[in-house]
Amino acid sequence: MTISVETIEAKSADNRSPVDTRRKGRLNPVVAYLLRRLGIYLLTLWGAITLSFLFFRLIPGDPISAFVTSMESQGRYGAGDSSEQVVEYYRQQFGLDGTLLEQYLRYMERVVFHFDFGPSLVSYPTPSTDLIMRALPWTLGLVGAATILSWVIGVLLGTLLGWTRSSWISRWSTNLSLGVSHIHAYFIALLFVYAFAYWNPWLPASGAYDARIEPGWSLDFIGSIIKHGTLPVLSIALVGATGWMISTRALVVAILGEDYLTFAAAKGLSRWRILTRYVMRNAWLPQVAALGITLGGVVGGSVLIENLFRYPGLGALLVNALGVRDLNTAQAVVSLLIVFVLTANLIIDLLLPLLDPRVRQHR
Amino acid sequence: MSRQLFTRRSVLGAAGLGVAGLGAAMSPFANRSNASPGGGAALDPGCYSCSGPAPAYLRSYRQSASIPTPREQTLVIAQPPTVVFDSFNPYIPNGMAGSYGLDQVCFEHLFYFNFETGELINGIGTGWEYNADYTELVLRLNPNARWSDGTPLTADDIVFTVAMLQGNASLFTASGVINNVESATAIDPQTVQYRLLRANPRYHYAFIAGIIGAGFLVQPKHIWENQDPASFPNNPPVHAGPYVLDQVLPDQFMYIWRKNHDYWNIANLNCQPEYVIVRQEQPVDLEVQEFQRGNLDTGGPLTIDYLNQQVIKATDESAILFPFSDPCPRSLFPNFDGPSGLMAIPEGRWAVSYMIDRQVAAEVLSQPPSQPAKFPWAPYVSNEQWSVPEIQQQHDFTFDMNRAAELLDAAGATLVDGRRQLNGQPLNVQIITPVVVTDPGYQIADMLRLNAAELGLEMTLSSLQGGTHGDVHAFGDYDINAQWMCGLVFDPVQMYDDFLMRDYVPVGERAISNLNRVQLPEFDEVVTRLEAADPADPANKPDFDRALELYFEGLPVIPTAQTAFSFLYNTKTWTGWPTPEDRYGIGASWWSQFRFVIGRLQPAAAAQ
Repeated sequence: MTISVETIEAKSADNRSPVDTRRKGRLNPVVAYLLRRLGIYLLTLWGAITLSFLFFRLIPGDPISAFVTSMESQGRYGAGDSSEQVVEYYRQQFGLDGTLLEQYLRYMERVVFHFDFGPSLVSYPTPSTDLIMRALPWTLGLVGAATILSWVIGVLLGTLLGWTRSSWISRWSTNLSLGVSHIHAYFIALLFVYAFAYWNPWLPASGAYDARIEPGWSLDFIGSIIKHGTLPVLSIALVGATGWMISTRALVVAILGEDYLTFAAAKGLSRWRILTRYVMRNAWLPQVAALGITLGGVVGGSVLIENLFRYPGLGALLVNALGVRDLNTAQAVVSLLIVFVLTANLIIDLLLPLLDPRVRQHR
Repeated sequence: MSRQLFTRRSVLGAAGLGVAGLGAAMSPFANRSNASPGGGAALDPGCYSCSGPAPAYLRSYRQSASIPTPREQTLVIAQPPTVVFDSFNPYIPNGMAGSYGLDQVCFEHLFYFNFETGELINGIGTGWEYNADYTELVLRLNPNARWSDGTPLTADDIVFTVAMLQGNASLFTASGVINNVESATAIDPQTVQYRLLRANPRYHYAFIAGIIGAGFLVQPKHIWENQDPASFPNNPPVHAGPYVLDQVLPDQFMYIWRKNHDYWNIANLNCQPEYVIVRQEQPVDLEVQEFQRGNLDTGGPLTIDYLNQQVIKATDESAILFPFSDPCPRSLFPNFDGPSGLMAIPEGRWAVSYMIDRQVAAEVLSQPPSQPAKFPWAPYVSNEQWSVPEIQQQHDFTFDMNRAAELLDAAGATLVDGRRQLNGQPLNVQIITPVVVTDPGYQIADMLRLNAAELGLEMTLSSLQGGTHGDVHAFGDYDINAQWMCGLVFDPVQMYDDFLMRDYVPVGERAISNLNRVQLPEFDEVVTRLEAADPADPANKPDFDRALELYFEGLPVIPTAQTAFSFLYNTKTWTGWPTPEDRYGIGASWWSQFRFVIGRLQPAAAAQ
């Protein structure tokens, strides 16, 4: 019996397992991974923004009536001004009229299709997004720089502390870091202000730049920004760095007991090579993920630090907005925070396989 | 082991050296601190563009005075935070940062009223007259008045502003025109005839800047016409005041106003500061330093609190402490329809009054110390005409717990097992307040709560913030609201108006006025009659006295302490501030009348 090649191929085709068939219809694993992550990202984004909408709308009381009443109690407007007509007009302007569902649908339509969070109450009729865009660069510069600086310093020193864990320097430094990490950056900032702005007048105590310098891309202006940002950045970075130091040290200490390090030492690798190629790479991976999340939260600003240094950032804006229950601005800030945190997570999720081969293999 | 001991020793030694070093570092600082405040002005504070080496304290001085104008020509004021930097519209919510210079130096009102002296000062207006039945009013303007862009300010601007407000009910202050004015007509460029909707001998109050500002603010027709006033940013603002906007620095939270040398009224108000900078206040510790270095001329009482003001005053000869009576005394508002039912009974309200030790409230709890409230208005010279000691003495606000207990018994709030009951139900009087727990207003209410507990009357005190308080207050779900009482600017009817039954709505509905659901028919009748009566006519004085008597009997509001504010003025750069001995003007740096203080300032260098 002779079997032709075509017959074998036909049989072979007939004998394909259902699993093989399903595999053929599958997407490339990398594309599938990306789509899955994006899907989760969008779903989480929608859920978080919806929850924040509900959170703000369910706060008891009507912000417009409350605002008008507070104006009256300050003697700025007469009692007759809080007529229902005025209140109704502004309820409409701020998207507070109609049922909660109607408000939600209008809100999502505006935000999704027009990126419009509506007018601000703290500075009516300036759009909330304008206020945020004015404050965002300052916050990103201030808290972003402080976060990255604290991460770099904290992770480097933490690694060294873990690597030399039995030395007295490591023990004392760890204890000191534990103490400092529990001090609020505001307190450190106050000490810095007294030490470096008043006792020793080296750095300015407040503001984002010297009001005598015209803003622009000049060295004077950039230098002024750096000079004014030094104290607030260092205040945040000092406390932040100690946190990173402690966590990195813990990670390094845990890794030091691993068999593969003993094996690497047995192979005759230098201590430096073991530290940089084996210890640091393993210890830093979770820290990179954590940095992503922390960077996402940078847009929340540092309320107390911004207030202390009279820094024109988002933290100060959020406090002002909440003070008058400016739902549009507060929601816009929170939504921006959500977007940044989720996007940072997404980027880390996408980058992690590149940094850690185990993640690729697991997938 | 020995290595560890050595390590500890070395660390302790290092710590000791550190402490010693810190002490050494602080020692010269103490000297510098003493030298700096006085030395700042003498060492050319305005030399902001100087170059070359400078002593450390001077470097610090120059670094901190981060203003884009010459210091010696600039008045620097600090105000509470704002985020409004691009809008100057007074008719919309947060459409302007009024206290950042607009109210004080940019806007020009028709008239100004000085509580301290009782003086009425002309602004744009020169006078007004009513017809015999108070249904018409003629307003006269100063023929020299001009807007800051040079355009003459005329009756047409008044007529335009009235029409704009009448046509836009959603604008703040519009109801004041809509509810009172039928029409406004220009008789000639300097004369406007108002036709009122009903007899109203008080409509001119809207023209006068009393507390903060005036109810009616004339706008330039040539700027506002063809604009939507509900969204017009009015940037840059064109008005008729002594300063014009130079620039706004949002990133510095700073408004800079420049003197208008063509100001139409410069002959009467020639302000010496070339610039007025109003910036956001910083944490109090920093402001104290700023003040001592001469970088801040004045701020509100919140900028530098009373304790720090006293410290500065004690150590700095260039500081002036100026106490000022708040136009809004701290008060308790009993809700006649409150859930406990006790406040509906006159004896219940008076029992509350007797439970308040006003001496303690004024002299201990209030900072700076003030005086016990005797009348439901501030003790200004201008209010003396309404204060009748004979009536007040019959209804004295004394602290008498025995009398309070008697009145509670008389009100039917009987003591059962150590706790007061009303109609068989245990009493719990709910007090709300919009102020924080550290505020004297809260502490006065807390004193009441503790005193009431001694008589078996349970009270609950809640500090509700912002809109939450506004809602609870407006919907009437409370027994007593501990707040402050504003209202009286020119005559008591302005304050009595807040307690009229025509504005009554039941608990559960939002009240616009009469928020504490007062129901006093006779008081209502007299006040309604007074609304149509000319307060300047001596023939109406008996009715005013009767209203005061009925007020004391009914007690729709219980004043506790006459709050005082204390302002700190810096004479390093400017002199001529009001002092306790020379109370020539309103010292509040966020009020419209502060322009008259600015008008009296002289450069400190010239004074030396």
